Amino acid sequence: MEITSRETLISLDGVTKVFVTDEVETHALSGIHLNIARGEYVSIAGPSGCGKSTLLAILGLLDTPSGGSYTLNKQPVANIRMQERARIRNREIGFIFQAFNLIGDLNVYENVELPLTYRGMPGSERKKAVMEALEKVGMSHRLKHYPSQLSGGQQQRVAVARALGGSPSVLLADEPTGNLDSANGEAVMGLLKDLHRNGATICMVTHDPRYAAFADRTIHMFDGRIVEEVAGGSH
Amino acid sequence: MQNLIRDLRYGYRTLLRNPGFAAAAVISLALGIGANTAIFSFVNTLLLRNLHVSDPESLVILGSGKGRGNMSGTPSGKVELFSWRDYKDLRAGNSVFTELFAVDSQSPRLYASFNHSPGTAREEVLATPVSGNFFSVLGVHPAAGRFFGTSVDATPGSAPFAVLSDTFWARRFHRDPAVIGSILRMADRDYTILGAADPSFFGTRVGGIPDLWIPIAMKPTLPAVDNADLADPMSHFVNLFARTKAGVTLPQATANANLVYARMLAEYVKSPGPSGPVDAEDLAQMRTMHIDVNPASQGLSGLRGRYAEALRVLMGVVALVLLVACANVANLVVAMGARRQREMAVRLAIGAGRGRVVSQVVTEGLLLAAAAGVLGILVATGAGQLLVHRISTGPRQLPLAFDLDLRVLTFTVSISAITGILFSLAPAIRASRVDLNLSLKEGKGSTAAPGRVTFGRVLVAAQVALSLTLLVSGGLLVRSFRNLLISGTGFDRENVLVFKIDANSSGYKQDARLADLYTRIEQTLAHLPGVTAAAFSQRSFSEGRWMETFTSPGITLPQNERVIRQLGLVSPGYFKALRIPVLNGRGFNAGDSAGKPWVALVNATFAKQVFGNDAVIGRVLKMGPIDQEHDCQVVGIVGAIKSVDVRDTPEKQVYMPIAQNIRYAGNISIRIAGDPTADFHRYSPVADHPRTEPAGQLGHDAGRRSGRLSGSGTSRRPTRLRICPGRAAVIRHRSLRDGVICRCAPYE
Repeated sequence: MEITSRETLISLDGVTKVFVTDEVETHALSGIHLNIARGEYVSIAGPSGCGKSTLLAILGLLDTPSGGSYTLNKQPVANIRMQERARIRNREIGFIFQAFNLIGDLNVYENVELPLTYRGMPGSERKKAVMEALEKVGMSHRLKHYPSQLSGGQQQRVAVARALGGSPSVLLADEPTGNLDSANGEAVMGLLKDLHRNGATICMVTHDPRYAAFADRTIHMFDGRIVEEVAGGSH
Repeated sequence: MQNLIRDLRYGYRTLLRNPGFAAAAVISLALGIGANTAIFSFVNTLLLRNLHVSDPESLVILGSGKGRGNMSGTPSGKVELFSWRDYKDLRAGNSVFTELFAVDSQSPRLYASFNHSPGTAREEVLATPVSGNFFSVLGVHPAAGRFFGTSVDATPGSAPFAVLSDTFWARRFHRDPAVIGSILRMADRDYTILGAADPSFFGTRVGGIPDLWIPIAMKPTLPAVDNADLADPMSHFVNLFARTKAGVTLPQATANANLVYARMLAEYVKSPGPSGPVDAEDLAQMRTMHIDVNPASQGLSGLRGRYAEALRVLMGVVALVLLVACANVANLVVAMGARRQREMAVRLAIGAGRGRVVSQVVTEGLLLAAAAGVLGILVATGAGQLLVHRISTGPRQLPLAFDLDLRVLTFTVSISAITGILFSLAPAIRASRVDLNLSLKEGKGSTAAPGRVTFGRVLVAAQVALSLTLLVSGGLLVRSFRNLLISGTGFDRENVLVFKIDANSSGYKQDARLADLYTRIEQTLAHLPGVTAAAFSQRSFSEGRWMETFTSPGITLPQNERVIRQLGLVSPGYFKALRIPVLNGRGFNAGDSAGKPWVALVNATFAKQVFGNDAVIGRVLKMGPIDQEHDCQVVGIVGAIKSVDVRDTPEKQVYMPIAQNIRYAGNISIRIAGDPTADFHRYSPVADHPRTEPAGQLGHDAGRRSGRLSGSGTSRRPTRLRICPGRAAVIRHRSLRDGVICRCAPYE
């Protein structure tokens, strides 16, 4: 896959993140330069505390960088207003969390539908989008089930469907297999791979080299810096 | 709209999944909302609601409506009560009112028997005399039968008709239409029951529904204490209501009414009524007279003046209670919010704006508040009935209607909504400010975030502050209770029973036979075991006042200072029975009888204010109408007492022996050695007159009197307990062998 020939979807230039407590400044990210092309599958690896989750939070507009610039889909987003960040999260980014983060009082259908309701999508369109997303992850037969009635793997598939439902520009996955056994983990990774094959842009944080190998490119981080980029995957 | 429905559905599910939280929040809020609704219902009924009559906004009253009773003689200053002749002349002479009608300022308590239900005992009824156009001007319609009209005003004593109030018709006859057209016998007259009023109509006095309305023309036939001379322009006893003509303002109405009234007064001077000619002093007084015309859309109410201030205080107190409930529930919502922090973070992460999260939490709060509002209405209904029961001190429950009209429902919905927003807004804003990065990580949250702790502290501080305010308010109220309990009245309230007696309706006239009856009953009681003193009095504590002007040789005081604020007609044992000290001279004795020179006792306040340091004993007081004036020699000075309200300051009082001025005296006071409530029926004169009729239930008169202790409703109960233990609330209604109806109630 020729990365350079593709359109750049995400561009980080000199991004830093400093957490300031009463007396201590912690540099979580230092001078991050990163470009992710549309349709690329990138994994971010590294030991605990290296800053990979912080990087993913900044990529997902869940956090703001202390310095540097961030361009998403040709739009600078490092210092935009909260309301606009929420809008971009809703339309451009799909999140897959380690802990699934489904809402327990909503059933499968409603969980997947939720981000679309925030978008103000009409009911009929919403229904179609939800059903397509659930078809993709093989959960369309569990519409009325609540998260507590599903296995971990099923919950994560629903979470993937929720992320996919709004046809986002990029899927951000933070240790998506972290709470799953190996069989379910493999299944979720297979699902992400399938999505990628169909054109999805994926950026995944993992510390498991087996899963990192699913990506087109793996970025290794240490002490808040990108220390190595490895292209290609074995899957 | 879809968002709202979705949030409501989700909120409903959330509450169902957290029943403990939901129940605690709803009950807390329901109590607060219920208390507020109950008190507001009172405010609405007493202070805000219009009369249930046609076009209430055009109703006005001449005067303020505060005057009650029967005032003879020339009034001064602002005119509150009018004579029947005033009514007729004002009605005929004015040019600003479409109609004018008269209502007796007091509803006489009469004793009636019904041929509809023969064989039953005579029973006490409250009858309000009104002018013949009363119903037609108010624009009300009968529920059964018909009302009387203006023809009843023509000839005094010739219109024995009655209209039943719905309350009485329902209570006494279960709304039996057969009672219409039947006869009731009352004050030696047979009245035809013409009809019954609609349930929504209670007259012009809020909280004072009479049992029946009768024509004022029948006033001269009522017992002496309640009758009036309709021809006498100086016999003032009615309130005058009117409807203003379209476009007439209150100042215009006032000006015209005063113009007509001035002409009328001039005419009265030229052709005086039975009271006799008007002297120069009366003329001077007349020139100060003035009528204020005031709006009367809400009718009159003695309760309004008595409880308005208390209701305002109570509204403040229950508002504080609601605020405490809000703070409690806000704390619960914050605790719930901590559990739902991840959910909120997820919602924000997937694109919910802060406004959406806030509106969702507030919607859930409103849902809770709505549930609490519904429950609160039920609480309010029960609390309202309880409150009415608690402030009802007379034989019957106060006729206050607490139906949930649009205003009360609007109030409840509004405070429910405000409450919902109040307790959920701050937690909602907090929820929308959650740290996404931290909250979305598994096993991590922001429960230790400094902002939340600060918010929690603010809530706790608010609760403590509000609770402290309530505690201090409660303490102050208790102190005011205590002050009332220990405030002296000038007489010894302990171990005294008061019996009510009505000789008038049993056919006794105000003559020697009546004096003999009183003497016999008094002697019978005085010789009962345990009775240390017994006495008759025309009035007992808080039963109103009889004011009289006086002159005294050698005393030159302006007329307004020559007013006896309470003229008491008592039998000789009165001062011993109530332990009112005789400070100088002597008290009354059996020798102060009808044929002997008239004597009087003055209280210490009178002696000081009228005679100063001069000698008092032997002075002469001239009292009564010009043609019936009596000279009374002061034979003693007694201690000053509070006769109407425990918060009064003692006023100028004069006592005269009943034997020399024979009038109906409704109260027998007996002092008991020991507990008067233990076996008080033993002291009833029935012991001497064994024939009894079936017993009925009546409230206790002491309780009714204690109502006068309640300028603020909150300060009444302990005083009432002191005066009248609750165990004696049910008393018996007996008819004695000689026909006297006697009601018994402990006084202390």
